[in-house]
Amino acid sequence: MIRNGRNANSARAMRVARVAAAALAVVSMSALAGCEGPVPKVTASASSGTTSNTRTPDLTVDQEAKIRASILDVINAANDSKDPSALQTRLTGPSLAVRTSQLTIAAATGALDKTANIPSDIEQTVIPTDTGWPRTLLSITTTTSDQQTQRLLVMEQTSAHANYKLWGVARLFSGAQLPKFAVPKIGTAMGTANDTGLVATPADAVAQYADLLTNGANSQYAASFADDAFRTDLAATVAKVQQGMEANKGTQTQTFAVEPDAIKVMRSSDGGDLVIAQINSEWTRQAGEGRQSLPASAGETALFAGGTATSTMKVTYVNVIALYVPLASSGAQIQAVGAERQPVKVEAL
Amino acid sequence: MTDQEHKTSRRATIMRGVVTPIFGLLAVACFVFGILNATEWKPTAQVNASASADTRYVVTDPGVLALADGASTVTVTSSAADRKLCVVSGLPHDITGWVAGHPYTRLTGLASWSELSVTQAKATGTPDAPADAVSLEQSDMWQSVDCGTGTVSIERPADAASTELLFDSNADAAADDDTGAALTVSMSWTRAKLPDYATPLYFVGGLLTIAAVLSASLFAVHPSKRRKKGSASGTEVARVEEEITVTIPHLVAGIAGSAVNSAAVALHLAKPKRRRHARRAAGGTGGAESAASVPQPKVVDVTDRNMVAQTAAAAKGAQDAQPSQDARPVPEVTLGPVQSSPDGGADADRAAAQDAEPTSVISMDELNAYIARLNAENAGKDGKGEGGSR
Repeated sequence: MIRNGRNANSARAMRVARVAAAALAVVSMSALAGCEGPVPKVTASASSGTTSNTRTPDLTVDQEAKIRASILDVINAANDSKDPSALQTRLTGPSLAVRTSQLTIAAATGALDKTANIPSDIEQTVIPTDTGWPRTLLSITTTTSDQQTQRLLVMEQTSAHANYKLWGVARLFSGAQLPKFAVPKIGTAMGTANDTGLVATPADAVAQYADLLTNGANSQYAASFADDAFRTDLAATVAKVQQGMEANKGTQTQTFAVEPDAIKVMRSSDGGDLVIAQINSEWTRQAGEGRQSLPASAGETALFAGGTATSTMKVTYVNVIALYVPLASSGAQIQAVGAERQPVKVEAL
Repeated sequence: MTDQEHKTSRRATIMRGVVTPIFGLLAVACFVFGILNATEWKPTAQVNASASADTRYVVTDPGVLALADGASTVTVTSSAADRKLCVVSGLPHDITGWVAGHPYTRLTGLASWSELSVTQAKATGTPDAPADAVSLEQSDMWQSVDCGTGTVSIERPADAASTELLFDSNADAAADDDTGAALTVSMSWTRAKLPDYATPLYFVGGLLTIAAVLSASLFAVHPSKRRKKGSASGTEVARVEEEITVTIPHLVAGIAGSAVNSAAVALHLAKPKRRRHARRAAGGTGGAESAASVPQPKVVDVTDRNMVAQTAAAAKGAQDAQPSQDARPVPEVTLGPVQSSPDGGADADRAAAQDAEPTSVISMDELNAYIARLNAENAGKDGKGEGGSR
């Protein structure tokens, strides 16, 4: 019995010792292992920031300001020197053609046209969220110091290793209502020339507007577009020239053609697209009764650069048009909100 | 020494001689480890980790720069002192676009507290080399650009979480040139939140101290001895209240007690407590316990009452003219109205009968007979004196 009791006691003591040892081991292990804590791991939520589900604006407001400042530095340097050769480092597309023409005219006339002024401050910027290239960045400047309307600046980055360049400038029409865009911290998705769900796809809208400019009120698309200052002013100029032409039995024709692939689209927060496109135009004036056809303005004269006039003169224009194409469900008309028109070439035929 | 007393003394010896010292030692160990974790072994706030790479481009994976803390300091050293070394901060998709088609080294995380883990990769796409290509330093896409030769160090703020870093060890080379240099990238963080191992240890130490004190005092006594001695002499109402009143200290002691009892059961120090109604055996049928047993407060489960047996017992009690003094039924505490009786004997039976026939009317004759019998019983009881059973 005593031996049994001792055995039982020693077995119990061993069991107690084992439990105590296990408890001690657990406590000491957790204390020792936890010296520096576990090495942190990259969490899935941190790495998911790159997925396309979470759209991040491609630029900050500061970056946009820096890009715009770089562009204006190049423009201002060219303005001062009246030399367009350095423009292409920060200008491209219709903007490069327009600014080159403006500087050529300025070199001849001694002064830059007031409409070429671009304010350095902006009211709003529209930053893309697209991850690929090319990317489009929009900025709307303040009014100029002489109370001209705001400029819509369209900047483009064609690839990762290229920088943003000023692609187009459109002077907004007085009282024009631009659509709403998301704030820069959220960013805006770029649209495509074939966006659907709208009154017309952006590409079609631009083609229809070109037809409207060519044919005026006779265009089959006249009802799709609201009136705008650009067409009104153009019609007035054409009518005035027509009077002179009729006096000397001359003729004039003006044709508008969309520049292929020169279209930028941004999706507004109210559903429609803001479309900026280049439309080229040729204005051919033929004088009657054996007379010479001469440049119609100081700018054309500068571009003609002392060429020999003939009975026919062809002036090539670059037009930058900004259109707001609303949603199909809205039932609204396409509205032109801004434009720029600049003769780039004057030649006698 | 009875078996019960022997068990009690052995329990006290084991509890005070074995269990209490174990708990005490564990408590001391916890406090010691706690203090060590708060002082000597305290995790260092400064984390420095580095890695080597020999590709032209090195890219940090999303989240790596904020691994130990939001803000970090990144220092990169190039073996080629004549080549421009640039570190830019940009969005992951812009960095991917920049290195498209190029091999590069990914910094994927911390391999240890002093080493960054790296992976070799090749970006998809074709190298982008347009005619108007700009250098990394001149690109518009970066939120910060730091260039130099030999060593470049940048401070990364905590709010730059959405951007990653791209290192170019040959920043002046053409866009399609993959010639790099041996780079050593080191990152350092100052951890704002350090893991606290001391507080849990202090807490566990505190619990172990309580367990040691309890096992030396409360749990060294056998559960049957632990019961309040005054409870037997209290009124039934008081006993009911005692049974149903549960306070927070009771709960804490109860939980600690169950833990210690479980430990004791595991160590075969005590037998598991029997359920209370198991001890009640035939109490519900009106049967008597031995005279030697001290009446204990009992809780009667009213749903567990055998009405048939009670009715039978009541009928039997009515037939017995003088029930035996020894056959004293156990006073019962019910959750219904408390019935106090001057004596437990026949009145209890009658009460049981009343329970069975609650609407019976007592006639005047029966009342007189009852009073006479009560007087006779009281007279006999006074003569015998108190048995000390109450």
